[in-house]
Order: sequence, then structure tokens, then C-alpha cells
Amino acid sequence: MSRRRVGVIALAILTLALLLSPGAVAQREKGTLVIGTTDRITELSPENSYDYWTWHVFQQTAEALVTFKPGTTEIGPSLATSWTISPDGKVYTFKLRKGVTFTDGTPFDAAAVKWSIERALRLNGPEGGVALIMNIGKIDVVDDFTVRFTLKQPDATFLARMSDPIAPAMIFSPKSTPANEFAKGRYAGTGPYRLVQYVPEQRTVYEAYKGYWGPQPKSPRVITVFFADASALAAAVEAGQVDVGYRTFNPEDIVRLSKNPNLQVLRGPSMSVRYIVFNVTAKPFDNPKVRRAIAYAVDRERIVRDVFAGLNSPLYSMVPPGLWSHVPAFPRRNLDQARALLREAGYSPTKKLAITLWYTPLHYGTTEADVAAVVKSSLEQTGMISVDVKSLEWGAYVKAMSKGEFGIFFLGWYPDFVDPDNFLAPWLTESPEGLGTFLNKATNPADKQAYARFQKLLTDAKLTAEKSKRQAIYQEAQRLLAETAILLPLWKNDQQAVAIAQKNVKGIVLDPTMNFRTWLIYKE
Amino acid sequence: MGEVAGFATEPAAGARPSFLRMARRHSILLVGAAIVGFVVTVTILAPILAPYDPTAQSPGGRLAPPSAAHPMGTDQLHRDVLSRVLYGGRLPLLVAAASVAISFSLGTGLGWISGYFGGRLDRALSVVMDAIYSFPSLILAIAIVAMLGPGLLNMIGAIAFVYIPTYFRVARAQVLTLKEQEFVEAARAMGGTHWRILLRHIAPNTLPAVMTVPSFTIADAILTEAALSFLGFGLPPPTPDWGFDIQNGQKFLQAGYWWLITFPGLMIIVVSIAFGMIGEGVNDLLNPRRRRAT
Repeated sequence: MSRRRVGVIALAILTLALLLSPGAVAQREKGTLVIGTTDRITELSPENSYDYWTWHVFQQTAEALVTFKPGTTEIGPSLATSWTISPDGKVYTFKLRKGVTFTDGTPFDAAAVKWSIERALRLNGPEGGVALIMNIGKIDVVDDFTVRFTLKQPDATFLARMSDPIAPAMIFSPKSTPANEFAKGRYAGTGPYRLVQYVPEQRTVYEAYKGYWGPQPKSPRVITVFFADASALAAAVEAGQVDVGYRTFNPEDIVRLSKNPNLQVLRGPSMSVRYIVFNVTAKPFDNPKVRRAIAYAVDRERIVRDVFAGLNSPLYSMVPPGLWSHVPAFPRRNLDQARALLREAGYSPTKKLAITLWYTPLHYGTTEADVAAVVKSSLEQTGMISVDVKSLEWGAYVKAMSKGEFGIFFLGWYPDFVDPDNFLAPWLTESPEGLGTFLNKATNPADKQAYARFQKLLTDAKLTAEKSKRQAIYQEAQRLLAETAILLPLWKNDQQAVAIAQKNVKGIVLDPTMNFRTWLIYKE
Repeated sequence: MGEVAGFATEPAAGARPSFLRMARRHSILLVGAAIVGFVVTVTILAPILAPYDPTAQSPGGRLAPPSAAHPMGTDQLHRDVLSRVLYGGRLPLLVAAASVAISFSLGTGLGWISGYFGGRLDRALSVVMDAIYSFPSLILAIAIVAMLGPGLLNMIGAIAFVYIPTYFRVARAQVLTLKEQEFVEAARAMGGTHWRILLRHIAPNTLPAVMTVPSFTIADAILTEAALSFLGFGLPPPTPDWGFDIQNGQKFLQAGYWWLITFPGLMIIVVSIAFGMIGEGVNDLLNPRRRRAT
């Protein structure tokens, strides 16, 4: 009996490890591309989702009026073939492509465009990104293939916001998509793929849409397998079970697999940033001195070195280096300054600042627990802060964050569209509640002033189309952000823009938009 | 020595069993207890024994293999693995002990009541207990903790809940057998109330059977706690915990940094086996097997 028990216990531990592997072995016929990822889909509702992989799925199976040309940050035609902008910058008239059908056979026309976008604006789910297109005033069908948008305010970034993969701006069939409830997977787009299967936590399957208006996708069938963690993903890539893995590998695995002659490791320019958010209505973070002290105490170098094996880079502004207008406005680490500010705020080694730091254990990769541990240790090095670390699974994390339950927490961001506005406005003016800063509800007069100032700066920057003027405004906004420390940029996620593939896989494009266009990928 | 009526006989009358003979007979129990005792002592004495603060991110190099300065190496945040292993038993042992204590009390108590009073209460409780029992313990524990949220008390509660039916069944089965016995009839005839009979006469006689269960459930509870921490439901970082460190160390295994998960993993295996041995030993002690006549 005891010998059997030994076996059982050993097996139990092994089984624990196996429990975390994906289970489903993807089918590998010729022409089927297998992608592996550790990301997850939250809810396949364009009006109630705002995360990378959910929008990625929409991008493979539906389209918007315009798109970013692969490998560039240039906007080009998609479902719209051309457009004109009124002199006051408020009216955009789009000519639509003819002969396009949705995957359910319904013809695409101006009425469908109006229906889809008005639907997103109307349903505006709490976990959605509809705020991105809230500037739309009204939509008019001029004729079957001409649609006119009238904006509330001129906006130099409007066209970028009407591109895929911004789900609320994408066009869905009025026949197959519910009008008055969240879609939850019930939708039909214009292609290039159809979503034929979605098993939550397991896989998605796309098949090429034969009626697509453009060139057929290079791989007629794509299976995406969702892996439990980065180690399992790396193991699967190594074993040849997936053709390409994307988001997100362990740094150690990237280093190791770079030396593997049978694999190719592709690195793209990353615009993915990681940062800390302060809820400026939650004590003690309503005190700018506390926030600035923490800004002086974090140790970005140590995070990058210890948690990411040097594969990421420290970040001193929300606008990442590589994007125009970037200025490294945040201060370098300085414990003395941190302590001085804490003392001014009334804290001391005997009366420590006690904070609860929140993180989510899987969504940003399994390194997050270590990041929290390093931040905790760096802050406690001041001798005047005591940090309690807590975690929540991503779905619950997002809900709690938008309800204001966190005071200080980690978040990540990749651009909805590549423009400095999209690295500042979302937390400061567009969706301060949805993204947890609650700056619009600030109680401290200094913060209220900052809010008003950000509103002025960021609106002015959108009203002018002249790049040099916009650049100066965004630089001022970055300096103001560093002074007020409402957000705390930590590192640029270079390691996230890494795809590891078998040698015979071609067509992978990693560009600053961070879009992953599976229709371009194929195997030789 | 011969065998009489199916019972193994004791050595010749007058010779008292020596300590060595007893030790040999109950070797499994003693070895198991010794291992557990050693681990518990070492865990309690961790503050004295550990060469470094288990959460200090400075002592050694990064991912350094075992060496004289760090006999179990260091992890990716420069922490000393030996110190983390020494401190890392507190949580698993504490959680396992607390949960088993709770399951033992609740499960046994409910089993006594259900078995003795029978009727609809018994049927209802049995159905509920069977339902809980049929769930794989790890999955059920995960489901409960996922509902309640991470945290020490929630983990203890979840694990305790999972083992209640085990105690319930053993206690209830014992009561069912015992309540038909003559001494119970006698007690009733003498005017004993139900509660008096249950608590004074029946319950104590269920203990030999019930007492064999805790050591097995503790072994199981330790593995469940390790799994819950492994999956991120335990206490937050950087609390040292064997299960959590296995989870963290798992990413580095493929890259060749084996010491991060091997040492905490060994501790869990050793402790679970030791508790299993105690269970065997207690079973032998309280329920001596009758050897058949050959």
C-alpha cells in the first residue's frame, strides 16, 4: 500500500504539470497553419471587449473602412476605397467598395456601415473600447455606397480610429449579429476568414472565406491553440506542434530558442508598454507627493534585468521611444528624493506608507508575480513604505479596476492606433474610469487642475493637423504627466513583439501596429 | 509459538516486549513520524536556520547553481533557494493541518449524528456528502477558491470542505455498526438519552477507525495546497511556499535551471510520503490485522 502511495504521489505531481498543457493536439494537415498563444479571448463582442486577442480574432474575420498597410504606419483603403474630409475637419465622406459580401451572404453597403457603428455606440459595453469612437456625432447614408460621418469635434486621429482592429469601428452583418445585445460570438464579418469554431480556453479555427473581395488568405485554414502558460508554448514550438508562437514567451525561453537552428525568432518593433496606474480618488494616492515618491522609488533596471533577462527596456514616458514626440520625462531612480517626498507627505520609518499593490497572474505572462515582488522590494528599500501584494484573475481584475477597487495596480497597453494621442488620452481624458485612474473624479485640487490641463492639451493636439504643433503639445503633456505621476511607465515590452516559428513559415510581419495578420502567413 | 484460533500469539508469558521489538513492529509509523517531526522542527526553526531572508532579492547571483554560499542555488530574483525551502513549508503544513482539523471535527461530528439518528437527515446528508466526495479534490478546491478569492482562510476553508465527506463516511459507517451492538441496547435499557449514548458510548468507539484518516488527508491536503499555490490561488508573492516556488521555477526548467523546482518539489514528496507512512502505522496500531491460520 505504501509503495503504491509513493507512486500515486509522484504521479500526482506529474499530473499537475500535465493538467496545464493544452490537451488538444492540433491537427496538422497541409495548408493548415497552427498558431500558439498564451493570450485569451475575453468575449467575442465588438462592443464589449478591449483586449489584444479578442480584437485579433475580429481582425482576421471582419474589416473596417480603412486599414494600416502591413509593415507601415500608413493608412490605406479597406472597405472604403476613398474618402474626403471637409475643410472644418468635422465631416468625413467615404466611398465604399462594391461587390463585397459578408460571410453570411448579405451584401455589404452603406446601411450596414451605419448599422454596425451605431450599434457599437448604442450598446457601449462596460468592458468595451467604444470610447475610442465616441467623437462620432452622426452617420448618414448618402447612397448605397457612400456614407458620411459628422464628428462632434475635428480630430486628426479620426481615420486611425476607424481602422481594424478597433472592433467598434468594424463592420458586421445586420443579419447575423444581434442588434440589441452583446454579440458573444454571433457575428458575420467580410473576411478574409470565417470563424468556424471557438472553444474557450482551447482553440479557434478560421477558414478562408471563398467569397472574399480581396486575395485569398495564404493559408486556407488556421487553428489557434491557447496554451496554459509560456513554458508549454515554448515546448510546443520546440516540438514542432505549432507553426508559430506569438505572445508571450518566457525571456529565458526566447534566449534559449534563439540558439535553436530549427527555429526562427522574429523580433518586431514593440509599441507595447507596461506601467503602474494610480487611482487618484483612492487614499493615499490622492496625494501627488505619494505618487511622485513611488515614481522615484521604482527600480526599472532591476525589473528589466532580473525578471526579463535584459530582454525589455526601461521606459520613462508613456509615449514609447521610436514614436514621434517621445521625451523621457519621468525621473531616474532616486531613493533620497523618494524619502524626502514621503516625509513631506507625513510618513516616516515608524509611520510607513502602507499600500496594496495589485497584479494579474496570467494575462501579461507568468512573469507578473516576479514583477510585483521586485516592485515591492524596491519600494520597501526606502524604509518608509510597506507593500502588500494581491492578485486577481484578469476578468475579475478588469471589473474591479473599472469599479475603482484598486488604488495602485499594473496595466499594459499596446496602441489602438499608432499616434501619441493613444498613449495619453485613454487614461487621462477619454476613459479615466474604464482604465482605473478616475482622473475625471479627482478630489485633490492639484489633480483637478491637471485634468483640466490635459483636456485642453490633448484636445488642442487633435484639432490641429500640423505635426510639429502636435509634437510640442504632446511633449508638454508628457512632462505634465511626469510631474503629476498619475501613471508610472515602467518598461517597454520588446519581448512581447517576439514570434518564434518553424523554419518553413513565411510571411510573418511584425510592425509598430502590433497587428498579427494571419492571412499573410504560410508554410513552404 | 503456535497460532491459536486465528490470533498471532505473543511471546512467552512473562517476557515484556522490548523497545526494539516494538520499534521494528511499528517501524513505518516511527520513521514517518520522525520525518514529519524533522520537517516541522526545521520549518519552525527556519528563522534561525535560514542563512538569508527568503524574500531578500540581493544575496546571490541570478539563477546561480548550488554552491557553498548557496547550497540550493539562487532563483531569478537573486533569492536563496535553501532559505525559501526552509520557510516554504510553513504555509503548506499550516494550511494542511488547519484544514484537516476542520474537516475532522465537522465531518466526524456530522457522521456521528447522521449515522445515529438516521432517517431523512441521514439520507439528505449522505446524498450531499456523496456529491462532494465524487468530485476530484483538486478541481473542487480550485472551484471553491476561485469563487471565494485567494487568501489564507479561503484556502483553508476550500481544502477543509473537500475532505469533510471522507471523515463523514468513516464515522457514519462506524456508528451504523456500533449502534446495533448489545452494549448500546443495554445503555438504552438503563435509561440513557440518545445524546448520552452517542457521545459517551458510541463516539469514542469510532475513533480507532476515524483516527487513521487524518494522516492520509494531510498528505492529500499538502498536495492540494501546493497545487493551489502552483495555480496562483495561494498567498501572494513573495511569500515563500513550496507550491508557489514550483510554479515559479517551472519556467526555468527547460532552460536548465533545475534547482528551482527540484528542492521544493522534493520537500513536498517527502512530507506527503511521511504522512502516508504515519497513516499506515496508525492503522496498524489501532486496527491490528488478524493473521489467518496458514
